[in-house]
Amino acid sequence: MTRSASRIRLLPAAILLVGAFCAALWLTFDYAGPGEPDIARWIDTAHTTGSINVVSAIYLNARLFDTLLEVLVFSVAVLGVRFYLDERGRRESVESIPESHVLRLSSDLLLPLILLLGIYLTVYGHLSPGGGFSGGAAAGTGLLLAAIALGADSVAQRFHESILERVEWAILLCVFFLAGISAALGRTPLTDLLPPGTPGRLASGGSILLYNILIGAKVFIGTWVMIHHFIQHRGEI
Amino acid sequence: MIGLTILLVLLPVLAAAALTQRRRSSAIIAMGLFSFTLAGTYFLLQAPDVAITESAIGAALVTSIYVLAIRKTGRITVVASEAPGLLQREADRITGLEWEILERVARTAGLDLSLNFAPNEDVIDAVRRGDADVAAGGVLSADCGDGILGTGPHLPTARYAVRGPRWAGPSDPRAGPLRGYFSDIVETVRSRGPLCVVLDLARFLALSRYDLSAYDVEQLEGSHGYTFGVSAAREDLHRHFAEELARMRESGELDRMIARYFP
Repeated sequence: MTRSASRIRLLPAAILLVGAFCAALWLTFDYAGPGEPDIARWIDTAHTTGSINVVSAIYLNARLFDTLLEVLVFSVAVLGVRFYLDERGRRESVESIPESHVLRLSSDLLLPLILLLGIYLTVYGHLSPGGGFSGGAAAGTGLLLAAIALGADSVAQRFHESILERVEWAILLCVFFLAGISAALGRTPLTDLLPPGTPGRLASGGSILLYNILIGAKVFIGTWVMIHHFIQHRGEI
Repeated sequence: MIGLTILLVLLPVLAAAALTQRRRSSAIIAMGLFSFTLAGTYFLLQAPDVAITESAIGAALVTSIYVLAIRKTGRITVVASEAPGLLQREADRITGLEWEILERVARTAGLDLSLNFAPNEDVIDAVRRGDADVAAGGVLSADCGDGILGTGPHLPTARYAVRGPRWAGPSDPRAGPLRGYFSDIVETVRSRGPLCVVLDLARFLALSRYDLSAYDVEQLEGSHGYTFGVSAAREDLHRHFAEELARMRESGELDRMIARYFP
């Protein structure tokens, strides 16, 4: 492409960008939105589930099917990574970053904290900000840190990937099965398979805790599978 | 409110920074900062759930995946055998004409440079196997064959056959190029050991600083030129080399550099 041609293409792109930026500014400061949302109704819904975190109550109860499809999107992404990388063939040995004391020490210190944070975010998703998605992703990224510091092979040895991948799909089926039962029973709000319990206690919030744990485990496994495939097929970390 | 305004102003600034960075690693760091600022914005807008997810996925996971992805593409891996004046170790630094050219190409292309030394006969093979992007250190245009793109000669050279006392192997050194490391040859000459090797001009000049009276020296026919051997899979790199070398030739920079290393 010649220089002048690239300049001609740059102009509409620049106009588009500036336009989008102005629109975003207008939406942020001027646009009031389509009236007040019925917040009280949502909070009521949340209370019936026994969850303190209203957001969790919405996306794991009233809007559970939206969330299920998002879980499916994540699984498809993991599948896509596997599919396209398997075509390229994998390297036998993984070249790792040269051992560094700082890296090793910070990994030893941080890894337990990150995994604990991941579990906390997942299990307390109905009581405080967090949930399965962010908890699983945080813990999975922690494993990436471990792979960088300890070498991908030694981390992979501790996690039996072939079993894990089956567990991941089993969890997906399990989540869909649970949601299917709720739908078949015609319960409203949708997922009240379990009693709401006392709000504020760990064992409360109906099935939200269950879904959070399942989704958290799934995202954790999926994140590691994706990262490990990237590492393995490139032959280096 | 002031905090929120600062973060909102920072967002487009960081986005622009990520887009305009020349080095990919800097662009990725800017993108990670953008994600982190965005997470802060969500938090101040009373959406802590979204903030946590944004920092876990956007700032941590996506940034690390990008870093993993560019570890290979973001750098030029050079494999070279030592050639005095062209590419050599000097104390703990690397100097030489070809090294300076490599540094310039890396800078204009926004890539990091990493260098591995290898025995001379492995240099071209390493590029062909895909273990390195560029072969350097006295690579001749004639060495570039399948899978290797030459960058055009940046310095004319000649070939010399050096044969010497009590050599028992095949008498024609043209049978094979220089094998092993140049420093081994220097050692052999200093101890007046048997030797039969073809050297390029830069290495021959370095060797002629030692006493070569015990050896037969013959200048071989044919005109040759030094080049870089770029992997055929990295056509983008080959273009960078061609452009940078053309620029340096035009401005006379290349001639000045050559005069500095080969007075």
